[in-house]
Amino acid sequence: MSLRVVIVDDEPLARRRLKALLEGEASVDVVGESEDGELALAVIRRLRPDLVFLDVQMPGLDGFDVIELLKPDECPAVIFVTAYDRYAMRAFDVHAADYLLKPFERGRLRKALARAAALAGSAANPARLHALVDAVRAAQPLRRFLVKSSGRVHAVRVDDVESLEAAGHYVEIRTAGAAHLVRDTIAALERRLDAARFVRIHRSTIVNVDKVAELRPALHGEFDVVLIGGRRVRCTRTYAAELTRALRS
Amino acid sequence: MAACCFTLAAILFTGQVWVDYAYAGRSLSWPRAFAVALVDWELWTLIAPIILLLGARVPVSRRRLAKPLVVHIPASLGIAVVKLAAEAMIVRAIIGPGRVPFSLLKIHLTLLTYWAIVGAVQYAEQHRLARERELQAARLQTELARAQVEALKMQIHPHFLFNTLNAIAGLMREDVESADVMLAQLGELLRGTLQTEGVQEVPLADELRLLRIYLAIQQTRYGDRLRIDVDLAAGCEASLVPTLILQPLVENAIRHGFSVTPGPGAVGIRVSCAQGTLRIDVTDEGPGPPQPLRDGYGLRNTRSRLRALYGDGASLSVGPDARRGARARLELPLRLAASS
Repeated sequence: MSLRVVIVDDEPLARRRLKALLEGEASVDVVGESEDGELALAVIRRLRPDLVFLDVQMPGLDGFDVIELLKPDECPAVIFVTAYDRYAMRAFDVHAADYLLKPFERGRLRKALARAAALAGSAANPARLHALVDAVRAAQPLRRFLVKSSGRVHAVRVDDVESLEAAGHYVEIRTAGAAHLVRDTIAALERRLDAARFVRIHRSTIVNVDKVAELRPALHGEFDVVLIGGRRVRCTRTYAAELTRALRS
Repeated sequence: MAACCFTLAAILFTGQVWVDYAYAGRSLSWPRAFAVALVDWELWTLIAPIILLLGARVPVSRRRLAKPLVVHIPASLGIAVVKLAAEAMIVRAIIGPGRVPFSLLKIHLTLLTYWAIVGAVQYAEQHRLARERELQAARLQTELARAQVEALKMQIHPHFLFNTLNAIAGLMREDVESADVMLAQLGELLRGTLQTEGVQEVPLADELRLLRIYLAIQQTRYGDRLRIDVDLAAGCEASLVPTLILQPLVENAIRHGFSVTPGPGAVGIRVSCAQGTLRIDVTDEGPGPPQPLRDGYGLRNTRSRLRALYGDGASLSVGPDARRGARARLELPLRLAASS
């Protein structure tokens, strides 16, 4: 039985090269391609391939986002393909993930294929991949959030976020023009954000100090934090010292 | 310290005082003679700081002589008179009433001392300034060298290099001629960055030639998805720009603008020169820079290079473009390369 393969890469030449190499392999059948992360999600869900060659850097959703968004039963075996990414390469080694560094030669590709073929369909595979994604994410401060709006998933840059506010089992992520709900806790997000920039100002609020226009003293040692867009959030006394320190640095 | 020196001088001058008084017909005991000499010199301990201060505040310079003379001539006369009057009063108290020799004639010596102190201050200050200038020049030179090395290192981003090699590997199977061209382009780009070592400025035409090679490679990698618009106003090509200044800006536009946005996108390069300024805008159609922008390492390095080369005469700003995406604007003083 041949291995059904999908190729995901934003460069057409890179896709064509990999396809040409794979066509020389007897047990491989290239069933689909995609040029960005969002298309890749759709293609993988529709075609249910055994194996995906996944470029790490891509427009919109990157390779890790794609894995994060796939449910365990949708998750194929993955061979990561990257030109150069120090963070990811370290994580690949730690988690014994299969990866290819561009440009790679046929011998290296065959080895990766053989290992992936053995893994394809194994029950442990999805968990292993998700652990890898978590490790890559934990190695560097959060750079963007994946949010759903009108059925689509897209990325919101952390740089654009004004504030994060706890709302039940969700956290509301507010940018200048929009608000998004993500299923997470304020404490968990605080740990993953760059602490020099994202500061707790309330039991349930984190603010981006880059977006703070001014502080207006309110009663009882509290502050009204006025954001660049004019919106106001309250900073309670417990967190006031932390906020003023972050604003000064 | 000063008081010590003056006391030493007083001991040395005791003999002279004794002789002076003997000539004037007054014989002093040695301790009295010493006391008189001491008064003369210790008064300088009090006056010297005033002269030092005045000398530092109003330096005597060859170019602007009027003001220092207006200050120092009356000041030296005034201080001399006050000093001699005080000296005469104290000496009279020590040796009793009677003629004090040379008290008025000593005015020229006092004036000389005043000007000697001003001269010494002047010399020390010049020396310090010269050292400071040297230090500043050395600092700038180091800064320039460091920034240029960093610019060289940034020039060929590893991600770009390996992706380009991969694209060539792909092209080889389908179009040997194009693969050949791309390999030559990559070679030329690498050579271009290596050759600029030590050269700070090149004509814009040379910089654009290298940039066009870089753009051609990117165009081959991304195909139809990437559109590149170059708009070069006539007559700008001869103006001088720092070596390797443009490619990092264009690379930023591709990395942070074009390549993070799904679908087709354009990178624009617009060059104009007017009113003594060369302006280069690099735009993209990506998500735009975060507001406010935290300068990355590349921008900081480019800025410090500009500062070292042009002081405040050049600027680099990055902000949202009027339509969408980001715009990096580089402005340099317009200087033309000597035609060869």
